Amino acid sequence: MRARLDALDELELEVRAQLAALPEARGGELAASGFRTLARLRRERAELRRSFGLLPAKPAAGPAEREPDLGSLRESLSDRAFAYADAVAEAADAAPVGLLVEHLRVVAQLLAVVELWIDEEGRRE
Amino acid sequence: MSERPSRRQFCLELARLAGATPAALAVLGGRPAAAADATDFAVLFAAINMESQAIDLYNRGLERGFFADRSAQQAADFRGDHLGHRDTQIEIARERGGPLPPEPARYPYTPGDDPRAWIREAQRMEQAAIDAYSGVLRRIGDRDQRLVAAYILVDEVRHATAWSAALGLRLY
Repeated sequence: MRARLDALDELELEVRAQLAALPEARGGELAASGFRTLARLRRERAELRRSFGLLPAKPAAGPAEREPDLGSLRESLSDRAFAYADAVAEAADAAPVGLLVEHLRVVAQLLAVVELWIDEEGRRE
Repeated sequence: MSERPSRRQFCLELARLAGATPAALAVLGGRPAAAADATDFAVLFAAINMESQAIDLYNRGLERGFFADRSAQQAADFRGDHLGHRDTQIEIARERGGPLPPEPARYPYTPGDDPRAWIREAQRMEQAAIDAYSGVLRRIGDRDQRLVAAYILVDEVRHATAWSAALGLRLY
């Protein structure tokens, strides 16, 4: 479970960097909402680590490898949603599964919003 | 027109089957099954049934032209996802040596002649699937089956969000 939680923390850094790079005029509200959500999920994952007796999350790794654009944000969110699915599969106890499922839903919804945005931009061109 | 099932009724189907039918499935294909196995098969069969209903709703809406333009493309894409979900879970049931999965089911409600009503129904149906998969994930004993259900849940959230956007609902 520790490896799964570490992976989720690393992927969050990538998503945060991508959100921060969104243009303020069109993506400001989404980014603000995304940051609030990510902060909540991080707090709850930290609680989960404590409940398992695991060490706190590692400090930030290097900068994100992907270019900051909508396509990369979609990829980062997709990776994150499926990383949550992997964590759900690994967590056998009901309580962590419940929390991780809720997080999966939140991240998948953010992913869907970005997919719709990309689709809309594509139809405009 | 048939009466539309309440959302609660629809999404409780999976949880009910997961919790109430292990006794009925205690003997699978003539061999005794552990309670955990029986729960997993009950979840699988209820999920296959729900996926069939989703395919049917999209099939009928597309055939009758109630999903148009962008919605038609989305409905076709989502139908493809549900076909994949159904076939994957049928394959899991086969690999695990369970009884034959249920026959394809029809969606129990026809939304009428307003295209927006079809989108609303699709949104309700996808939301019910989210609630159902979320509810049963903690009860699935087999790790691989849990992984498949979690992956499917990602798709169901994407579908429901797309229909919520089409209906002008607030997303964040």
